[in-house]
Amino acid sequence: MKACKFYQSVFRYSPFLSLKDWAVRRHLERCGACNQKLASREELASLLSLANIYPGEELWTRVEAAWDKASATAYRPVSSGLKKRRWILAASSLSLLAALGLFYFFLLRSGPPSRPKATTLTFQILRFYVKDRPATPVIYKPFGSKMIFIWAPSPGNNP
Amino acid sequence: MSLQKKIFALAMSLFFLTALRANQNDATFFVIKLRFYEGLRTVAHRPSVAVTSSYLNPLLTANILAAVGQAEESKQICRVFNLIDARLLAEADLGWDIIGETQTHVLRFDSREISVAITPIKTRLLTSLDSAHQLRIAVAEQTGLEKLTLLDTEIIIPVKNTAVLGFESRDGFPYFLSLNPLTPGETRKFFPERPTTGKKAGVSGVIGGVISAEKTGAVMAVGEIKPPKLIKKVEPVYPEVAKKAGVQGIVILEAETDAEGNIVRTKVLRSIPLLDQAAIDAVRQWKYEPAIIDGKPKGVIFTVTVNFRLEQENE
Repeated sequence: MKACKFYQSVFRYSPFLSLKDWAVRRHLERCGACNQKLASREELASLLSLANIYPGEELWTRVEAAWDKASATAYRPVSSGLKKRRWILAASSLSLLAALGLFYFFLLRSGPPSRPKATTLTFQILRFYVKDRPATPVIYKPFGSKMIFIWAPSPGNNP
Repeated sequence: MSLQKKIFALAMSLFFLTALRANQNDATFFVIKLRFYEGLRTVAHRPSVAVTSSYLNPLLTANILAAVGQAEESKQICRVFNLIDARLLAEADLGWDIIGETQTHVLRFDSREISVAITPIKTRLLTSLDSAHQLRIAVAEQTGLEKLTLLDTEIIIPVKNTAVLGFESRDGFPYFLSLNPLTPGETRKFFPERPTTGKKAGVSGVIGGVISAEKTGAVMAVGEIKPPKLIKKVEPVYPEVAKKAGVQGIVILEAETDAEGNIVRTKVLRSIPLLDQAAIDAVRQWKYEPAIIDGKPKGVIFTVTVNFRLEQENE
């Protein structure tokens, strides 16, 4: 029954017609509980074929109507208020998802300061000239330090 | 597609594009903290060293105040290079919007003129957290008309790391340049609003940008505009109260000269409360060579670093 309610919600609150049509049809074809509620499988078949004439929008309305025998063939058009609510709900859900995504992204970018992170980006010297001549730098990196020391040796002179 | 759907799709696209644009802006703007040290191999006591340097561009007072780890960095340099002392001569936060743009920082002290030119070649991104900057660094010493390139190198520095480059001046004195690229998080913390450079201010005429002081017409010593030469220096008086409290360190001032080279305005950028006034009082009495810009004498805005050191008993 929970699945039925879920599909009912999909039908009521999703503004995407093709998605809910597909979802509701799939559910109706597979759900034993919904089938039992209907008078017969033939009735279900007629409802599904009717749904081709009145696409997706009122399919679940008709299924509900079929459950309630008193209004078996009543057609209840979707109110404009419900349409608005669907769009508001869809837009706010997507906005919430986007906001959560961005929040997570920026939080990750700031990063926890103390957690060491492995990186392949390392210090490199691509070119080294001292007093207009190519030179070999003396490099020292203390163990575990984030500092690297490079000395540019002048000819015949050391620090 | 219904009108509602179209509006919805358009709004979502705009939202994501705005977020993407903001993120790209963050990625392109980066800041490197630069420190320039003088190394002392032997005991040579100098109670104060004054450095006149380029206008720190871009610079916010809060950034320099927030800078930490300088004392530790100085100690490490002494230990690694076996020095008696490594004194901070200048400190600047250099920011780039444009890859390939050179920022030159000129320092004048003890009749020396040393320029540090840094050009970002490219930024290598591994993840949004891990990146490295490929930089070209050229340090030159100007003596009269002769210019000697002391160091010319191209290096890759990962963010969160500090590279200390040591080199000797023409006459064999050791100097050290420390470069520390800030992480995107630190950049956002120190620069919540992106500083405006001379070029971005839309003022043209000189490469590197010249920004005029609104009232006085003084120009900032940025790029090709070098800081003026100091011709009369008055030593700062070390306040007794600071001596008793054992307070030492550097005070950085922004100073402005008039067309005759007299100091007409000072502003504290890096403060040590007990030493600020002594530095201001001394610098106010200094006299600089008048700066000639476009054939006319003009006032210049630049920075002055005053280094206060307490005499050690064992010296």
